[in-house]
Amino acid sequence: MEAFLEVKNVVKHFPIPVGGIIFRRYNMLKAVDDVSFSLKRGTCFGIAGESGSGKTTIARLILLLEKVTSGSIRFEGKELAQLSENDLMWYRSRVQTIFQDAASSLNPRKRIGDIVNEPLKVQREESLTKSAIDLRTKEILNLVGLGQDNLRKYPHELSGGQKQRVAIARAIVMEPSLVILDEPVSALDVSIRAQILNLLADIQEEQGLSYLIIAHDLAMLEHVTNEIAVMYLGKILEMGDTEQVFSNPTHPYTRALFEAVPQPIPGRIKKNASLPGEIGNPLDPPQGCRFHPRCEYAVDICRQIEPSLVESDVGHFVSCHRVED
Amino acid sequence: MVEKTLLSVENLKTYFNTKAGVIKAVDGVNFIVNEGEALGLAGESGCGKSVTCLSILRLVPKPAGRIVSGRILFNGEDLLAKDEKEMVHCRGKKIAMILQDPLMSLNPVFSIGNQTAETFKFDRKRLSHSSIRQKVIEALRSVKIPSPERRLKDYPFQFSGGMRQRTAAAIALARSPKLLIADEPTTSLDVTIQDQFLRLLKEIQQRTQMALILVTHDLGIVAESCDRVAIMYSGKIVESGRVHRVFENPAHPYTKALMLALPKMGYKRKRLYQIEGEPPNLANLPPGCSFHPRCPSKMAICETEYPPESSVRGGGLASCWLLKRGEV
Repeated sequence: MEAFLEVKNVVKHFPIPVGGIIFRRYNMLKAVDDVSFSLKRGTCFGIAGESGSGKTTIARLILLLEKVTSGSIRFEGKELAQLSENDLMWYRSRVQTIFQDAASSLNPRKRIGDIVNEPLKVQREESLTKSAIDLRTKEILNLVGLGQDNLRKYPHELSGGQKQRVAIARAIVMEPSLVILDEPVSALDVSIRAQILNLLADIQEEQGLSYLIIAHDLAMLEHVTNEIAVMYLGKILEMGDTEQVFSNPTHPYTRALFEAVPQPIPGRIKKNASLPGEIGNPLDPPQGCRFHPRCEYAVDICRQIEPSLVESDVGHFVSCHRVED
Repeated sequence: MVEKTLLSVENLKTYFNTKAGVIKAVDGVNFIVNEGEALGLAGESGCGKSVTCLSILRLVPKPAGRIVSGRILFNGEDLLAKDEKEMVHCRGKKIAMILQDPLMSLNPVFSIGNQTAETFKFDRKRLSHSSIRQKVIEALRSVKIPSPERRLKDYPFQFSGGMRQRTAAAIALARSPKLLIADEPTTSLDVTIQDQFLRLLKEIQQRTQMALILVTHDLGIVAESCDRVAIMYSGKIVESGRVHRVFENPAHPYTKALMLALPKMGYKRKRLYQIEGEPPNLANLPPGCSFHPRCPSKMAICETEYPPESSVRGGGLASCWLLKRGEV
């Protein structure tokens, strides 16, 4: 399978001003630091991590909402930084997004029908007639399980799950090839969550979409993704086939993270103590391995030299000095 | 060990008057909490779990909300019969609460030391300044705030999310209450920090033999931190019992569906079980059992009458006509 989204050595630094007007300096917040991964067509790639790990920044970089500091992102063979105006129009119809909080991503003053068909009006103004746009809008609303009686409603008249369905409809109305989902179900209740996850899976199957899912809910990610990357302070610590990573978590952080997730199984005994400390400061990340202050296996080399992502098993990458032990 | 009932809530009804009509946020809830026990109160948003907790402390926002009927017996005393002055002495000393978002519950303009000391307001006549300070430091140390004596002058914004929540816990636990109500205490925290916090709570609970009501929407947390669980749906408890029984042999169709709809780690399934429909609007509840429009095993009687609580094989209670008829 071809890699149709390729993220290579991407770095994103945000300058944070410190000091007064005259002696102003900029400290660099390293939100994403040398991240590489690739997404195969028709698959689902998950990025897991705690807050401050840089996972949302990656989504924003791919969506061109932020500019990369260095590195390259290629989509269907084209370098994003070098897209022309026309290419940008094409790119934005191919890559769509669904945000965490559907309620705040829908314009409260627009009707559902207008929210969903706005991308069509912007992108296909010349080629589609008004009735064709209407038809397509109805079709898409049916596909996401919203009846046509919702066409003229406003977002506040819908429930949380329905709003998320509208957000999905708006994302897929252009028939994109990649949809980026940032915490797509974390704001929803359990019973609605299953509905939305199943709907996303159905749409993927029908339309051959690729998903990039960013979430902190590991059980959900295990369920829906083919490949997964675990991020910590702007770095990927472990990456690989979802089944492999979950059945054989190798990095100490991944292991601790998996153990920390509460599971609906009474009487489960946690083998290890909880992970001490908190995620470090991205303005001043620890020297060497970024995880070493919280790692029980840390030795001298971890404090000095930053490990790089190496293949520990076929298709399973880990960034740890002590991976052999 | 003989279990002694600490709190018993009987037929509690808390209603809210709104423009859309009367909202029955809590509608006839019964449960007990034994001494030293952890009860999980689980359910989806809007099912009335937070309002139940606020009712226990008599903190339901007035005038929209009011406790219509019921009894809340704490150590045999009816909290609903107490006047406000007596309640003030009850809160914090006998029953304490931790809220979801510590950024909202901590005052941003007072230092951590100052806010924690406020708990001892009623002891001020008795205690000297330095002994209150000592108590504050002890309280913060008990929740593992590193070098608390140096952090007393810090403000909440200087603390991380996990530390803020632990400070909120320190304030709640400072006067060693008999019962702690924690309303979604870890929702705003990351998993590893959540793990730290829940373990800390458990440790304190075991040490002090304090009872705990843990309100959460995360069934994983219930399974790992609680002894018993009560599942709520649209203002009523639909099923309750020991966590082992409820998670392994759920009796109510809603509980069963919830367990199936939950993505679990280590189980890769193609499709998740899906509960059709959405939770009902509290202002306009369906007649009979409020779960019937979504229930896969609905019967004619479910549409007209609310099922009574029946006991479940293996312990606990559930409100479902299937059980009443002995079909489960």
